[in-house]
Amino acid sequence: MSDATGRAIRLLDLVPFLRANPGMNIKEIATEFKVSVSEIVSDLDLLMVCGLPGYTPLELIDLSTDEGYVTLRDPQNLEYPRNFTIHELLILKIALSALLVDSPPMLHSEIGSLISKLDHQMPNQISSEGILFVPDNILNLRRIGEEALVKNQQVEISYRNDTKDELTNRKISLIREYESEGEYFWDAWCHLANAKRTFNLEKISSATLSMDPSSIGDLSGESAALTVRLRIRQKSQFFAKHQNILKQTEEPEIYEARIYQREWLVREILSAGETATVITPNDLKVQVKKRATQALSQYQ
Amino acid sequence: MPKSEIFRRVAGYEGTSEAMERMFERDKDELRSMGIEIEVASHDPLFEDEVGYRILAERYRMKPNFNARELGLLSVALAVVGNDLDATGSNIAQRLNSLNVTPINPDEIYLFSPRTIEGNLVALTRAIADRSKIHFEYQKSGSQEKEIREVYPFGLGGWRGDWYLVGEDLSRDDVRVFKLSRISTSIIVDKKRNSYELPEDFRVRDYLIMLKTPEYRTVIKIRNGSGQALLAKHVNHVVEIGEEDDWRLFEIYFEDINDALAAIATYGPDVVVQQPLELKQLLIENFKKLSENHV
Repeated sequence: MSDATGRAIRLLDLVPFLRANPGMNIKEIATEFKVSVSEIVSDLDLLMVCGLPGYTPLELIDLSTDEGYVTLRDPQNLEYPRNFTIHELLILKIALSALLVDSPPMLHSEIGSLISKLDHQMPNQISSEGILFVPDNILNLRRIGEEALVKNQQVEISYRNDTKDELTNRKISLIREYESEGEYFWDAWCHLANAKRTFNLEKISSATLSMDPSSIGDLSGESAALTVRLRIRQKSQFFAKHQNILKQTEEPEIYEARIYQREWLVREILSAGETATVITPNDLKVQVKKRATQALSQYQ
Repeated sequence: MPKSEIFRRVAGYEGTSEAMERMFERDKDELRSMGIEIEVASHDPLFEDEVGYRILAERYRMKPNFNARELGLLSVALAVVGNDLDATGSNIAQRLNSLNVTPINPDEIYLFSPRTIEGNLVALTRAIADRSKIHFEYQKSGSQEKEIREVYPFGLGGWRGDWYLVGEDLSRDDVRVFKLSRISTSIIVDKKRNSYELPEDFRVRDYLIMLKTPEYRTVIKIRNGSGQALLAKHVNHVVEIGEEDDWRLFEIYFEDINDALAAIATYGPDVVVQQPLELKQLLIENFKKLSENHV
């Protein structure tokens, strides 16, 4: 930007700023506009002789300085600040998008309306749908988790339990957050189950910070794991999804896994078709067979 | 004001008349890029040929109007990303602060620390605003090699804390998506403006697979009391269309046939597909194999 343009822009910005912030001293104004004191003094001198045609004192910008403090009484027709440029509109959209992450869901529609308001200012050559940010529940949950850990407070969640096929409301005290394969989990003390549980953030439909302080119970008596033996096709989706819990045996395609909930495994196997088969324990095998046969009967 | 008067009164206009004309055009362009339109009009009713230049206040003043609450949200939004916005952010904040409205800050927001945004976002938004070509070094997912890409930037999409650039990749002659975190250099923006036209009806959403609305339509029946997790997971893409005996009937949209199969099969006999036929056959095959293998 040339010096002349830069100065013209600064003068246009200076008038409404001085009007809205009366009684600032010249040094503060220079700091605000990131120029030297002498440049601001020169700008103020120029503004004092600017005005509308006629150029009598009544039509000039009414501005005075008293011991370094500036007062602007009549801005003539320069009262309003300059409109946003396209670049600034895009920057504001990005800033509001970032705010969506930090704000509770109750504010999302308000922020969304503000984004739409800015979109209406976007000229035709720029798509108003050219910048899009989807309010993401996971990021919002992670912020709530962070806050709960910092403030040492419980979190009240609504959790979708695929294994039990139910939605429950429960209070939890967070122990840690971790990431695995792009998904986020909370290890927490569940006050409903009165035991430690792991929660997949994808399955939490809502979460709010509770006023109750966090409290973690006895972690030593966790439920015993069951070892299962499975035949699994490599390169199958089942293998890709569960490889972190599978331990290869000496036989090809035979794996062992330690699981905590039988129902969870039965449901996972039910969608695996021929790519995963339970070998032991027998009762789990029988359950899969029974459920698959019942499902087949629904299609006959 | 006539041009001759501008040349005489504004500091910096010097040299030959051609040089001053070039400077004048440059200054007009710069002001236009700052949102200030210079109008050309006759300034003397008796001599219409003599044109003058003017800036109308109503053409450059800030639109829209913001109320105190909206100003509060904008101020907090700028504070959230403030550290990464250089002078652009502080200039916007300064003009918002000139509106003579006292912002009401939303107290529902709990801020830990300013959020870091991608370093290249500011340069990218400038390129999109000016419709300028950009180039950068890019490392594709799963590849060790870095390639220089030349791109006309069309738009940006944010998802799960990552930003994605959608633009025309000039060497591939196609619209591609680039994850900003895989851009390994600073983005270089060409000085030339208005280098390309945006495709008609361009929407970022259409290019980002994770933002696409699921389109695989199924009709399924769910036994009363079952499928709660399934319904909750697809809550935005479910329509209840009827009920019969112990069952409720739904239209549910999934990403594709495999997504539908994985979601439905886990419920065994409690969730039954009615349409489409291909999914029904796939499920029958799935349960047959399970039944045969678990003996």
